Amino acid sequence: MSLRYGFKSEANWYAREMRRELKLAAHDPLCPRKLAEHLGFPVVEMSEYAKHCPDAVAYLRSTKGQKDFSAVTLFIGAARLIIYNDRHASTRQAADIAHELAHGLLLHPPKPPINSDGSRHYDAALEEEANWLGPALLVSDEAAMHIARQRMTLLAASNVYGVSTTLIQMRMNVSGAHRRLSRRAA
Amino acid sequence: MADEKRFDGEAFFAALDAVRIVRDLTWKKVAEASRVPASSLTRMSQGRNPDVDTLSALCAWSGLSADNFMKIASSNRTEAEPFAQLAAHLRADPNLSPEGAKAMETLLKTAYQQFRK
Repeated sequence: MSLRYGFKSEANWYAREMRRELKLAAHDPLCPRKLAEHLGFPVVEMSEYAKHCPDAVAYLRSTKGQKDFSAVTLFIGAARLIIYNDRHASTRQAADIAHELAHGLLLHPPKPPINSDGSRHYDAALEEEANWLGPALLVSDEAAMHIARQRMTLLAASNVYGVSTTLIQMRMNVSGAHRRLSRRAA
Repeated sequence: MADEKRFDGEAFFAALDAVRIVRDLTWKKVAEASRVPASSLTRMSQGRNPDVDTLSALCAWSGLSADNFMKIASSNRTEAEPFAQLAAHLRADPNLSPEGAKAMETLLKTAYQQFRK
């Protein structure tokens, strides 16, 4: 499934707009927790519920359970609550929270979390949009150009932007930052 | 005593969404055309009422009248909502294990109950 026409530039627009609203430069790192606060989404780490449902939290913290749960947006009436698996690395948590914020920014409609047969509800089109916008929020097009211009290593960029080197690499690839920079220099 | 009237933000947002759908626009286009910050639309989608400037801009853009969304405030309105109606976006392995589904259902139910307290 491919993203709808114009979505990638729409994602860049959201990344710029959110930075502008938060009074950040277009290439600045964006803290997903601060963005969540700005958008009015309470963000709660899964461990907060350990005393209320210890078995469920223990399972989702286990090696096997970690694969089952990254983050969720819970719709309670009109309010939304983001819960994330705090057992994951901080870089992964940032990506997970940004993914949920992407759903929120795009005003994706709520879906039932678990199907009647116990399987997870999965809307491929909506997930693909959030899969694109989440990383774009964290490493904007301008950020990718900044990384290329500053000749940052993947590790250095990962530290600056608080995301994994994999996410940096993905954003560098899809933005074509290095190619654009060398074309400008030519 | 005169009945207190309140702005029904949820109904207004639903009507706004209907206008958006009819005009075949994304929310980004709505934000740009109405000159309302994208974050304001996201907050409204969560039931927050817009400020005066935002409401005015959205009414001007959509042609909706704010007066039509004033409703009598009811003190005994119930907010109860069964867990079965909860909806959420999940991000995890599409092949969720049975143990994972059970643990998540428990977690979500707990979060729901805690949030309502």
